[in-house]
This record gives sequence, C-alpha cells and structure tokens, in this order.
Amino acid sequence: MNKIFQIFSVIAVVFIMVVVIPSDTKSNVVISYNYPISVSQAQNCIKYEINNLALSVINASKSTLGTYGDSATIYVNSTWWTGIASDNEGNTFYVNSYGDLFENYSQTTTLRYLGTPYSKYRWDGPIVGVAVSNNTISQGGALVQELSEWGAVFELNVTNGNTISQGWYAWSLPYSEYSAINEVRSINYYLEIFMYFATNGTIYYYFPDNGPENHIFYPLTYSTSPAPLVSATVYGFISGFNIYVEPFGLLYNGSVYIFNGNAWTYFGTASAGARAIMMSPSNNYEGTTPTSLYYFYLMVILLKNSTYAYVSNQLYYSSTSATFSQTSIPTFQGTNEAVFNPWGYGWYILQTNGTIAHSSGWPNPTTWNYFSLPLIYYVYPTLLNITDSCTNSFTVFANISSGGSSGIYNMRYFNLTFYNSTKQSRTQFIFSDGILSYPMKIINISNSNEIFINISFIEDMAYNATFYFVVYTYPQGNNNILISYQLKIIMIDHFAFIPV
Amino acid sequence: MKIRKLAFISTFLAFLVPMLVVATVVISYTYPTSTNETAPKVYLAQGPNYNAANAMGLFSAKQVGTPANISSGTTIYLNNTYGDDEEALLNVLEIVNNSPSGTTVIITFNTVSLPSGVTMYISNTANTDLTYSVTTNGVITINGGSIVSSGTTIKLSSSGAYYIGFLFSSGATTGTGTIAFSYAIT
Repeated sequence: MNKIFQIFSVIAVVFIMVVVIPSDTKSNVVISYNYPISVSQAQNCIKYEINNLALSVINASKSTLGTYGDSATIYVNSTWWTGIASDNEGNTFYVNSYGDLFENYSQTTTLRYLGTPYSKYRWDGPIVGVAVSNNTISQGGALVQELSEWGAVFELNVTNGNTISQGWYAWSLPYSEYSAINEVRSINYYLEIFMYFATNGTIYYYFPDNGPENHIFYPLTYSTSPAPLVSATVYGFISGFNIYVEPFGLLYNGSVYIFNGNAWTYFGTASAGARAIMMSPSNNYEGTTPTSLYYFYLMVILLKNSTYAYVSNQLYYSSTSATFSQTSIPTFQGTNEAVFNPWGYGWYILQTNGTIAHSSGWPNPTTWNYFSLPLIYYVYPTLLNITDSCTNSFTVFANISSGGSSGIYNMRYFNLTFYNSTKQSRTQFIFSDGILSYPMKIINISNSNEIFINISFIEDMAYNATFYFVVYTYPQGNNNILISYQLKIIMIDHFAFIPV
Repeated sequence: MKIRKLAFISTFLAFLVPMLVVATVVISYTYPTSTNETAPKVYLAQGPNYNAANAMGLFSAKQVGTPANISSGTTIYLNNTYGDDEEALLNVLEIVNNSPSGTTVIITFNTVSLPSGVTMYISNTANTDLTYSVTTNGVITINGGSIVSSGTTIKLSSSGAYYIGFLFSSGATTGTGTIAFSYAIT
C-alpha cells in the first residue's frame, strides 16, 4: 500500500508541474516596450552644386546639379580628333573637336599649332571637320575652314609655314546639324569651292574667292534626302568658267548616295557602322571636263575597329552605282573618325585618339605607316562643389560605376579628381591606356569646407561614362552615417548623329 | 492502516477532483508589499553614433533616467535626406542587456512597422558595430546584423549592447510607424 501511495504521490507532483503551472511561464520576467516612429525628410548639411563659373569654361550644356533629386547629372564635352585635309602643296591639316588646328608642313614630321577659333568665339558645338583651299599667292596662302556641328564656319588664312594673317573669321550657316565639310579644288584657283553637308542632306557651298568679307552660303536644292548623312565627299571639275560637283553622301548604315542635279539617289552600300567616305585621287589631275578615261574610287571606313575598309569599283563621272569590296586596313586601338586622300599621297585614316595610319598606293592601300598627333591635356577645373555646413567633419568617398561606361576604358587618359579646399587631400581615378587606377582614397574635410571635382583628359572618343560618389561622415572614428548620392557625369563623347 | 488509506484517498481526491475539496483548516498570513520603479536590466538606449546622427538632423530619440534609456512611448524620429540615393544610420540605437549572469534574454519584436523603403537592423553580436559596404552604383548594404521585422525573435546570449541601425533605400517614403518589442528573462 505504501508503494501505491508513493506512486500516486509522484504522479501528483508531476501533475502539478506539468498541468497546473502553465507552460509559458518558464520566464519569470516579461517586459514590453512600444515606440512610435516618425520618418520625415530633411535637408542634409552636405549638398552638391555645380560651379557655374566652371560651366562657362567647360561648355557643359546642362546640369541638374543644385536641384534635389535622386542623382546629379552633368554633361561634359570630351574632345577628340575629327578631321584631316591637305592643300595642293601637300601641307596637311588636322583638327580636333575643340577646333585645335595643327599643320604638318609639306609632309614633314614638323607640326605646328595654329590655334582654335574657340579661343576667340563662343562654343558652337564640336568641330566636325576641316577643309583647305589651294595654297595660292593670290589668296596669300591657304584658306583653312573648320565646320562645327551646329553650323559655325571658322576660317583661317594660313601662309605656308609662316605667319597667320588676319586671325579667325567666323560665320554661321543656317541652323542645322552638320556632319561634313569638303573642298573642291581645280587648276583654276578662282573656281575653288567649299561645301558643307547637313545631316538632313542639305548642301551649302561657298566661293572663297569672294573674300571673307563677302561670304555667301548658297544652298543646293534637293527633292529627296537620305538621313542622317554622317560623311560626304565630292568629285569636282571645271569646264570653262564653270565648276561642276558630284557629291557622295554616306549613311551610318553604310548606304552611299549620290547627288545628281537636285536629288540624292542611292548609289551603293559599303557596310553598316560606316563613319567616313573619301574619294581617291583621280587620274583627272587637271580637274577638267571628265571623259571615259578619267576614273576614281570611293573608300568607306567603319567607326569601330575593323580590319577592313571598303573600296568601290572603278567609277566615272557618269557612274550611277557602285559596288564596294573589302580591303585590309591596319588594326590599331581607337575609333576611326576620318579617312582622307591628300593630293596623290595615298590614304590616311585618322582615329579619335590622334593615331594616324598612312598608306601609299590606291585604290587598294599597300604598306601602312603610323604616326600620332600631339597629346593635348584638357582640364576642366572645379567642375562641382560639395559643400558642408555640418557640425561634424565628414569624409567623401568616391567610386566609379563599372557599368554603362565601357567607353571610358578606351580612353588614352582620363582623370577624375576629388580634392578639398586645401588641395592637400584628394582622390583620383585615372584611366591610362584603358587601365583604371583605383586608389580608393578618401577625402577628409573639416567644417565649412568644400570638395571640388576636376576632370582632365587627353582627346579621344569617350562614349558615355557614368560616375557615382558616396558621402558619409566619420563621427567618433566610425563610419556610421552613410549618405550615398549618385553623381552622373556624362561625357558628350561624339556627334549626336552617330548612334553610339 | 485505515488512516493511511484515508490519507491516500484524500490526497487522490484533492488532486483529481479539486473542486470538491473542502478545506477543513484555514490559516491566513499577511505580507506588506511595496511597488517601486527600478532600473531596467534590458532596455533601449541611444547608440554610440546617436550624437553624430542627431547633430546632422537625421535622428532623434530622447532618453531619460539612470541608466539612460528611452522610455516606452517615446517617439523616435528618423530623417531621410533630400536628394540622396540611399542613407544608412548605423548604431544609432542599442538594446542594452544588463541581466544577471546565468539568465537568458529573449527579445520578440512584436511589431516593426516602418514606412516603405526603411529597414531596421540589429547586430548579431554584443558590442559589435553594424558595418556597411557600398556597391559601385551607390547601393548600401549593412553587414554584421540581421533585418528586424514583426515576429523576429532574438536570443541575447551575452550581456552588452546590441546595436541598431536603419537603412533608407532609394525611393524610401516618409510616414509613421511603430516598433514594439518585449523581452523575457529566464
């Protein structure tokens, strides 16, 4: 009986522990809190703003800086080599999109800098190309003209290897987007002609013999037009006291059109992604009325690296169509911009980074030689300010997006620098020959100071480039407050009419 | 033997049929009680980065008492910055665990209701900062902690401070919300 009693006693104790005492009271203390939360927006003591003074220097076209939003965007014009031309004595001229003009005197290795119209005139868009007249005593030398994308024509009278007279003249074509400038030369120096091509197919021409004070731009009427024209070249000759022209226009899709009388008509197709078209020398050296004995060729190069250019079949003034065949060209890093055939000197291919491949022989090139144009270092100072009115010191950390900016990696040199007002602390992002230097430095700035951003580069095609930066504080030595902003710097990298 | 049987039967009935038990002996005791407020052993307080965030006008939560703590019902103010992409306020609050050794504290976040785009984090280890990393496109990631949402239960395995941070993602909205938690000590 005692045993039964003991068993029941154990059962009773277990019953008390398991059933009578609730299972959720293992803890003997339970405390609760309740906090209302209020989330608002505030103006931070760190803000970014564009330096308006810098804007007027760098020709940045617009900016969203200074207004609050999820990102700040600034547009910066990059600079790249755009044009090549030569006069009747073999003096070759090179121009970049900022209008910087160089002359290679009589095919020597000596280059001289002739300046830029943009040191005198306002920014009117990147320079699309250069053309030059015959070098004549009557004109006091060669007339070199640059054409801007938005129709500004700048002219410089360049005396052979000597002084530059008169300085730059500037005129304006009717407002449009322009892509090409050409010069038709003849043995009759008074019948030379400059021609200007808008992307919509409109053609204007100009007789330099009229003199800079009496310039008139004459339009060529047309009925239909392919668009956009990305390049053009002209076959011309004189007959008596008249000059005849036969323009060829190139579309980015590779289609070639000819302007006959009053309309553009389809002429042939080279290859998609076409950038520039040029005519070979003609055996009509006198530039007189052509006969069936006089022929020429067309060459088309592509914008992106290609191992081929496209050369037409033998053409005559009366030709109504062309077929294009591949011909080998050198492969060198860069972006093709212009093709040119100086008076009997073979082919030149100019790249946006200033690399030039030169071949003798035509229509198909033979041996290629290379040389490079001078490197011009462009600096856009104090592009952006980041101002601080915080009670804490803060630190800026900058980083570059790896996405959507592949073009920047093709640049020979591109430098984005953040530095503080004392210039003692800075961080740089340097692209050199396509390699990014990634120092990951941070900038410490104290109260009421600023951060400035500089951009500098050597001319080349940049494509679009997007940069992000992050701002955060350093309280108590810890990175505890992070405020990230997106700073978007878009390099205006090429002509709007080229869809890259 | 009869007495033992009787005791057995009485005990059996007392356990199994308690409502039928009728006490035959009643003894009363009287104990005086006193209710006072005492310092909490586990509480919410300003974190090590509170002052910096507060100085920038980005965060506010008043604390009182000794040890300084944020009383229940106190409104916590968070400010997202105009024009930013993302914002992180790290280690601006902390839950302090001063419970006696040998005890275990389990916190249950009963309600975490924050405006869209605002996320709350708590460190995984006592006295260890929440840290961050930033991707190249400006996206901030908080490291060393866990996201806190309604129903999250965390066992505070050791004494010390567990830091709290907030992340405002791009497009975070303003508004009101609630953070309610309770803890049990065993």
